[in-house]
Amino acid sequence: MLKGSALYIVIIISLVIALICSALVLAAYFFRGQYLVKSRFDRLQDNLSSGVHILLRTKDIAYLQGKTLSLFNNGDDSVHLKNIRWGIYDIGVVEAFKQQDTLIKVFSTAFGIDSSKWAAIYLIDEDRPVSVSGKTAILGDAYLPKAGVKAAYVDNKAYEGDKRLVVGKIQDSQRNLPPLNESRLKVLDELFNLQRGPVNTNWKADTLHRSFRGPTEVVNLGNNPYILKNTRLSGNIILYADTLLTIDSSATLNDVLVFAKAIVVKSGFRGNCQLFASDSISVERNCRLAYPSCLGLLRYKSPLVGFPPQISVGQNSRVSGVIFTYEKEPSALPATISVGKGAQISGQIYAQHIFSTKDSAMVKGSVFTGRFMYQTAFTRYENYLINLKIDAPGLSRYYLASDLIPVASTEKKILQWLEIK
Amino acid sequence: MAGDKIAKKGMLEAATITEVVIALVIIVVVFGMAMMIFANVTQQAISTKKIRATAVLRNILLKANLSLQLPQEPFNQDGFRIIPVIKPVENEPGLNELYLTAYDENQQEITKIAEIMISKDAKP
Repeated sequence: MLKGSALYIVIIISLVIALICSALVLAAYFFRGQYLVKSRFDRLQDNLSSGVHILLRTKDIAYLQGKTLSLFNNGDDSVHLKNIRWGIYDIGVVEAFKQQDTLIKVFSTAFGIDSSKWAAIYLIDEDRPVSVSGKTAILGDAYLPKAGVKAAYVDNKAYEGDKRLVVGKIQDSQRNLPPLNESRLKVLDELFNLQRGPVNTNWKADTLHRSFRGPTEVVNLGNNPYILKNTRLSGNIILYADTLLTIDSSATLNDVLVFAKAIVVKSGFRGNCQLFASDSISVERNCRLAYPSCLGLLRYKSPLVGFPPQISVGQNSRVSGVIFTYEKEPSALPATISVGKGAQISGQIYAQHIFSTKDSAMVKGSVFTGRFMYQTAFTRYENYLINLKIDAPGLSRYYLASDLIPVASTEKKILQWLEIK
Repeated sequence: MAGDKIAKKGMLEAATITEVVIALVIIVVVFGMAMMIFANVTQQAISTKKIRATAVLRNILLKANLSLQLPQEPFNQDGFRIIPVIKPVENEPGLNELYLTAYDENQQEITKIAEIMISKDAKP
């Protein structure tokens, strides 16, 4: 026989209600916890964005040393900002923090292109025309000598390109190239002559990454020729060599700066780095220097004797970024940028004196030069463009320039995210 | 027939009055506590309105970031009244502080966010 047992039933119902209540309290607790975490994260993200915007617009040099700010004049929103001059580009470091929580963004910056200064070719006016022959193509606006451009018959080859010769607007060039940015040249000079620390001729690293949030790893390789091989270097690292530095194809460099008297990049190398030399840079065949890379020849003093300074890009190599030469004083041995057969440059070439090309060379971007040169085994042609393609519209619309080259606009933009934490 | 005994088989035995009273007290107490907990949890929980308003403000910030055009006038969006306030950043000509506040239909402040923005109008 069944019993009434009202107490048992009530206790069971009470237990069920208690269970539901605890679940409700627990859910509310976790939801609230998660919401607070999310809202703090969002606020730090906003502060991080604020920091990025400040670094993109500020001209205050105090940020070069690092500066901690309280945003919106309250103690809650603190950010630490730092600007680092990194070769021809800048690096921005933003840290937004609140108690134990920190968010970090490290990025490189560059400038948009000023369309009023942009051109496929800028050739200085030396009172002589420029001639085109073979399969030459010039796409984009051009600043050319007043003597103009004409088709020429060279090496038994007639001009086979577009009848307009220049597919774009032609304007008169000046007798000198628009100058490189003085302040950026000063930065490069300072980096070239930085306190290098003790010489380490036996330096070796398997894999080395240095964050831009920490101090720069400066490696002084001294004045013995050094071969960089079987290594992987990335980030905040500067290599110095007082003589020849050879970068083997087994080495990988990312975002690294290299300063040496002469640099040889061996055939098959891949990476993105900024290489600066005072005498020569030789990139051998089939190399790939990814964007944003830079090959720069810097001569702040002219040597009395020696070989002409040169940057050469070997056959079928590809360089994406900037190639430039700079000589502070006029020299009897003018600097040359030489591009080999089938080589492709995506970006900007600024040859203060001579830009020399071989067959099927291609530039997606712009060439600013004092003189074009085409050399065969027997003859040297000056201001003759033979089988050279210069394609300004072919350059990516997302390409950003360094303020070193005189086509950069004043609008600073993010070039690359390097660290996000 | 009248006067016959009722068969007990299938019948429920009644509870005593004391048992019923105790059960009643327990159930009332438990229900009372449950109601209090429920009221507290619902009162203290973050309202979905606030979450939605934050999402709306973040979306406006994102659009302003992309277009570099900061909202100048108050406007309504997704059931909220959004009031923007723009202040120039000291010694930084290309930058502005943007404060966005969301109000509900009763003109009660729901949430606000702030960010330093680049604006198209303020040239570097």
